[in-house]
Amino acid sequence: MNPILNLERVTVEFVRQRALGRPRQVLHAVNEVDLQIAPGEAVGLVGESGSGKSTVARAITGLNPVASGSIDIDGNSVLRAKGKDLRALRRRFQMVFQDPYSSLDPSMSIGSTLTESLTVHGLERGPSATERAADMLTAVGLRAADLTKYPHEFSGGQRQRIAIARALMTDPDLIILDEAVSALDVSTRAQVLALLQGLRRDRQLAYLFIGHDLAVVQRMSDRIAVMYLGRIVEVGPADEVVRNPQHPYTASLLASVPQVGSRGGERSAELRRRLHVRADPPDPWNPPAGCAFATRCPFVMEVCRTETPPAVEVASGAVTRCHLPTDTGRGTESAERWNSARELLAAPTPAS
Amino acid sequence: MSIDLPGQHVLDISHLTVEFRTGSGWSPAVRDLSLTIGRNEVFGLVGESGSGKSVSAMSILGLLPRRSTRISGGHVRLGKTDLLGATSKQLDQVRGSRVGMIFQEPMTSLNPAYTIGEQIAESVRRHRGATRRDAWDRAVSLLSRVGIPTAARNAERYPHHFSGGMRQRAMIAMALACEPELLIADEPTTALDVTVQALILDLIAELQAESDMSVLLITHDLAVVSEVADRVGVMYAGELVELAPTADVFNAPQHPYTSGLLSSILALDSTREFAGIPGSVPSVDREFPGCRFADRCDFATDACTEGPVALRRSAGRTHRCLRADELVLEGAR
Repeated sequence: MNPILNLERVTVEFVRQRALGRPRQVLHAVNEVDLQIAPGEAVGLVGESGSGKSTVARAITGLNPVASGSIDIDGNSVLRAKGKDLRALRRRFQMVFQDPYSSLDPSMSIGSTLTESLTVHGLERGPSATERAADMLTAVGLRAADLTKYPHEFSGGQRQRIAIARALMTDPDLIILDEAVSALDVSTRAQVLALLQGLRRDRQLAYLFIGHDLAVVQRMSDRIAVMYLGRIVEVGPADEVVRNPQHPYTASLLASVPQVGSRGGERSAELRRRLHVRADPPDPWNPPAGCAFATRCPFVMEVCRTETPPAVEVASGAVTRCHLPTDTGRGTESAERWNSARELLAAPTPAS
Repeated sequence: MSIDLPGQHVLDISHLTVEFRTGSGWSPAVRDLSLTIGRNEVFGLVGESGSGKSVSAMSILGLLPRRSTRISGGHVRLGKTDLLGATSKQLDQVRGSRVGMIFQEPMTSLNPAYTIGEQIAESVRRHRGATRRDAWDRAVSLLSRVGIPTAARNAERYPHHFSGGMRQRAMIAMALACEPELLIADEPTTALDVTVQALILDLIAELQAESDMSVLLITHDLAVVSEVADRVGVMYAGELVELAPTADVFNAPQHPYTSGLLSSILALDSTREFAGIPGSVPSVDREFPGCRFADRCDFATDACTEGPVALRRSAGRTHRCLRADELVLEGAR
């Protein structure tokens, strides 16, 4: 079976020229990224701002041009397709954005907003389109009567439900959720997450779930990919990535997540001491040589500052881009500290 | 933790009501808010959007627009100074010298036209009357203290040269320039990445520990509060609904809203079902005959909607729930 989404060595570049006569600078916002999503699978994409996770989404949807590599939807290249074929492919994946206030046109009724996506794809019109819109609104927990209302009449959580209903209109196989619940209040967020889980189950949807909240991403995903400065540094089964991280960056993300009830906890303080990053992220226009994380990594070795780490597969099925588990890293003082920090991270939290 | 004695408070807010001008007149965005912050205490004020937590902080420092807001009751004291009765000149003196402030988006609080060092030195000169030279030296040492590398060089750079985390560090340096009694931090880490957030929270905790500064931390993030605060106040729809030492709030919440918020948080590697709170936060101009949370509350009875519920103390806890004594609510995890 084809993966529903297949990215191979996808690179997206941003270019700037600060002044005439000065050299052009190139930023690799996405750097040779490989990522596959099987039909019905949910893959989480995490990373800090500037890691390139949203640019991946924008590259898939054609909002950012791709410099090299390939993007296939169910075996068909999105980058090569044109005209009618491209439109037919586009129908199969939809996107939901972070801000439910700017992603809905304030001057359009909810009904028109929903049926518009059918019209642009040359699908149903008229009464059958409206009927479908009513069905989708009900599916996301709103009422058919809401079709005649306007965005300002809804709360943030309700607007995000409308954005999800709009994404469902073309009966897609894949929905890209770019920080789709990040702008919502915590009590509302849980309702929208539960809705997304239900829809995925009922409609065999695949998700690319982009987020920065690791706990949420873990719950929503089968697998997690972790991005840092344009590269995927770790990818593996969601629970494995959280319980047994293979890249120091993943571990430092996990150790940084504030936990309810962890105040004064010695384990938490010890984890932070061992795994915390040391500094702010580097300037993406001038990335460090070798491993991009080397400037912040508590376990950095000589080799990390000169050589880009290879992708290494570990026993759990996860793939990591790090020198520590390679022949170069094994047995070093850094690797020993790293292994004992990971054991501490994997140990169950003592009851408070 | 601080000793809860009258007269020992750095900040004393009592029955504060702040109103917004709306289409139909004036609507209270903060209702009858009372809380105190002791010396060297970290007080966490949590709530969702529209709870009134930021409005409270802005109002005590006279930072709300005068045409569309008014303070219609209560008093606020910083030490012995009455802040609500202060003139704008007096308030100006308080801000920056006795109270430091940091906000969510440091870029909007920093002036893009001046270097970071100039802005900190300016604050030192204004409030301390230091010479140019001394003020600059103090700015550099403050930047170095908050973890800005090569501080002498970075002091000469402009805000846009700094990353989000560095800007927030610069803001903290500026807020600390005059060794304030109270630091008000309004969502100081919300715009930052989680790794940088952890560094900034550690920094605030360190700075608080090495001085006798008190901190009012305003945030929507309960997990952040649980890591740094001594006591927590939970706000809902303009009202304080619960006030207690941090561990009590998280282990044994007394108000159903607090319990609902706690169950909405998803912990790493948790297998708990998603549980939100049905409905959404009411708008400020909506009036309720009784408890403002009643229509979203699983435990509401007829009595809850009959009349206003006052903040009260029972069994050593402060809350705004009629049924607190009989309910056993679920805490964190």
